[in-house]
Amino acid sequence: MNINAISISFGGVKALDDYHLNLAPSRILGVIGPNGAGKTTLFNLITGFIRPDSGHIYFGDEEITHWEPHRIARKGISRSFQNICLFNRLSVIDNVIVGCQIRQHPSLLSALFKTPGFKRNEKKLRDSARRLLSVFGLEKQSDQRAMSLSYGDQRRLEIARALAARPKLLMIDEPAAGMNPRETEDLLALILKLRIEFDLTIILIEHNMNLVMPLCETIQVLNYGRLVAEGTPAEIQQNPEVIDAYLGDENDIASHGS
Amino acid sequence: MHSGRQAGYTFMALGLFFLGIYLLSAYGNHYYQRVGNLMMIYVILTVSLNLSSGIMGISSLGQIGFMAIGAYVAAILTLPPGLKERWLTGLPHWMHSIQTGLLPAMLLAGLLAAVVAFLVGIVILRLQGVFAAVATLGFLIIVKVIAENWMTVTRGGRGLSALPAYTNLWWTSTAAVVTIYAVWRILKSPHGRSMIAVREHDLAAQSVGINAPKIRLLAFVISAFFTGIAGALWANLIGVVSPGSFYLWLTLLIIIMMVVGGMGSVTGSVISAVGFTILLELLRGFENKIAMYGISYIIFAVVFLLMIIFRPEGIMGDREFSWRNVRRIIPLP
Repeated sequence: MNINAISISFGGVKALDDYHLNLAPSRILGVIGPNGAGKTTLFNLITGFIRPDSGHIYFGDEEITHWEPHRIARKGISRSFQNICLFNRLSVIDNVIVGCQIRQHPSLLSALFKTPGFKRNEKKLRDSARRLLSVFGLEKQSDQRAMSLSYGDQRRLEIARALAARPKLLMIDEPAAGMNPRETEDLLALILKLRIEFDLTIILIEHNMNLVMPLCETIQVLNYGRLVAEGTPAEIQQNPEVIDAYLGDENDIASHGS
Repeated sequence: MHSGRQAGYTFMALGLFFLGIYLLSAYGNHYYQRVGNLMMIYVILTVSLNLSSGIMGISSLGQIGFMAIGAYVAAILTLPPGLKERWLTGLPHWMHSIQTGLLPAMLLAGLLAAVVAFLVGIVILRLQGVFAAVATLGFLIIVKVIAENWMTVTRGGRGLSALPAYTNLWWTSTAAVVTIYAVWRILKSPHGRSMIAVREHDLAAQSVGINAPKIRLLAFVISAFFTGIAGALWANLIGVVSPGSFYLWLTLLIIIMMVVGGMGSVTGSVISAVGFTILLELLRGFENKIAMYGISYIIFAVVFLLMIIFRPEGIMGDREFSWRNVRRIIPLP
């Protein structure tokens, strides 16, 4: 993943200005910064929901700057959303199956005539979705509608759906929002486990330092669309500019974490 | 329950259904046959509207435009050659001598409706919600205006009459069963899941690799195909097509049928189309008896309003019929 000097502005406000990123495979990057710093805009740019005014985005050896979202997803970038966006009226398992279907090109005729190949494929999709749900501890709810899940389960289901698309790069937008310390700890363990099991590169947006600091190998700090700092968690915690812009004094860090 | 047994039940139910069709076409009087035909046509219209609007979530007010296209294609194809030569001077000469049967007329009607849906859809499906509704309504108006003014092909406001009465219960019921089956299979396929995913959350669907505009177009085109076929059946049932037949009344009727049945439920659409056909006929009889013409529409509207107030998700919501549920109520072998 390589991002070269992208900028975008909305009606005169620079949401991202001259942003750079170089992320090696299998790394975990944390993006932090105050609200409105441009973090989610960055996600929307990478996943193709919005186009940058200038700059280039490369993934693997291809430039994906102007690709459509579904094509970027098929290339291997999946995401979760800050405000949970599930397919509410689909069942939990169908939410995941929709993810599993990616890169398949089933013919409509095989569905109409219910060919053996069609049935095999449906069973395969269902099995892999079920496996994924059990990793997330959601297998018992698999036939409920997604909207009936608890908040924490919905967050997990979103990540499960993103993983179902077998991404190389997983982008998670504030997964710990609204979670208590106990749930946050479980989430931390889960992400670490997923990372190894699925060999993932991860970009994480998160305010909760209890998740960011132990998880991320590199942290970027954004403020008013500008990249203020980049470094290891230890370096970031020491950086006077970061402390000034975002973290505040030591006590603030502690309170952010809770 | 074992899926083989479910298939067995389904075949038995189909057998009973076609036995009913046989009895009705052999012994039923003309009136009941006609109501049966209309019922099947409404089933096709409502189920196919449900594919594009209920399942896929396209707010379409232009569906009946595709029915009009299908009806005119079938009318032009099945019109006797003598009349064709006299009325339809705008057609190429080789078409004057051609008169097809119902099956080719139906298929071509469906195909042309689908092609038009494809072309129109590329433009209209960029819009969503209310904007799509307005644009599709615009399409319906355009179809009507063309039908009214393209004198040498549609014979304008006088319409095309003396069409052979090819349509019978076998055609309409078979077409209805095929439509229900096709939409049902699509709903239970990866395509159907993608459609619902896009309806539920467009961006999230794209983020897992679904090409949202393409899947919308697919639903729109398939829906138009079956609607075009319904148009063809209608043309050769009534014997006359004219621009006014395919306009706001039918548009509202099938939307009401779909909403009352439950948006997203094929089962609901079938139940609702059957129920409303019977209701409308009963009301018409009632209206004639008490000689208060128009009262049937008022009652019809009240039924719809009550439904919207007390059961806004419709009869079935987005649930479907299953033998498993039937077995819970009635002990089947």
